[in-house]
Amino acid sequence: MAWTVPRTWAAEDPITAAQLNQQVRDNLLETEVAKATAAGQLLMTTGNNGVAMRAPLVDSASGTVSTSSTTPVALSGGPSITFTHGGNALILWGAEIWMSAGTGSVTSAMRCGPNMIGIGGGAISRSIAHAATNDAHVAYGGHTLFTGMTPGTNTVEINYWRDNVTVLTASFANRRLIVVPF
Amino acid sequence: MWTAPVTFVSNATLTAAQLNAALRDNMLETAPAKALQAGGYFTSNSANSISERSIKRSTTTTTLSITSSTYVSTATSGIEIEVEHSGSILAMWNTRLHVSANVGPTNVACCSATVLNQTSASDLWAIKHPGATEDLFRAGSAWLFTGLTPGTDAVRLSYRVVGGGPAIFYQRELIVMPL
Repeated sequence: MAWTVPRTWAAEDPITAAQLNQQVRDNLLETEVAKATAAGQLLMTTGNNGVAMRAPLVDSASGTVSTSSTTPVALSGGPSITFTHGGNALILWGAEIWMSAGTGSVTSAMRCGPNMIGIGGGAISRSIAHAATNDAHVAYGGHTLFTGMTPGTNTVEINYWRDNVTVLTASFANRRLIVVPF
Repeated sequence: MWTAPVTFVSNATLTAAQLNAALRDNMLETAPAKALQAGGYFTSNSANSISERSIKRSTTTTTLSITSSTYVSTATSGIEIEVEHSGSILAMWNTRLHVSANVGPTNVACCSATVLNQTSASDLWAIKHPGATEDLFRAGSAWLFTGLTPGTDAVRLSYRVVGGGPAIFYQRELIVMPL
């Protein structure tokens, strides 16, 4: 069903069951409280007079993964989240990053960022990065907003890579990903 | 309390009880009826139940020096925010951090978040930095705490140092969005 603009009642008009079902029952079923299915959901809009309840989601992987790839790649454990949205999604992620082998440089960074599968354009331009000349471990997070997606269900995963300046192995641990779908 | 809206039937008597339950009581469960303040938002407590929540922020410019290898804090040193929630809390925080002696890759300042009495602070969602004060390093992190017992709880920043420190934290900010 869809929300119907409430009618203006007139004196002396008979009220029919069909009117009450549309004006009371069906419109109430389009409200946020009717659509809430579990704890922890946020009220979002889906379009003109449409709302949905969507829950933020989290995934993480504490284990260490490593790569020498100079292009973004997915690694074991993700993290990865599949979610339903109305076109926008706030992505927050983070990781512990360090150089586990090779030659470091202050101009050669190890990177990770979100890849919206099937959409792309996310990981490289939105990455967090750490450049070092030793094996110093740095951990922090990034955030970005994906907008203008076709409403529906998508999967976002964290990708990992290094700059192609010096040859090194980048390692990542304590990887985390949060999605707030809108 | 919300009840499934009744389906009205032609030629049946429309009672006051039906209207009170289907119309008055259900409308009192919707967001406009429950909104009390500006700047809030609505989350679900369970199926067919919502509550108004508010996002909160706390900051301090107080400098904190830590030498503990396990996560520690107090309400005054940690910065802390108390919120009512239905089982999930999104926390976001940032700080400037460095170590003030023995600077090197194995002497690492760490800043995490905890929900008191429900979860411990963890490296899984921590900020870490092994640099010296000259690095002027500020970083942030976030974590979605889930599976909490619904109620009112305090979210607090916690700190530790791997490698002896001392670790220094200052210009700290904590933002909490209860769900």
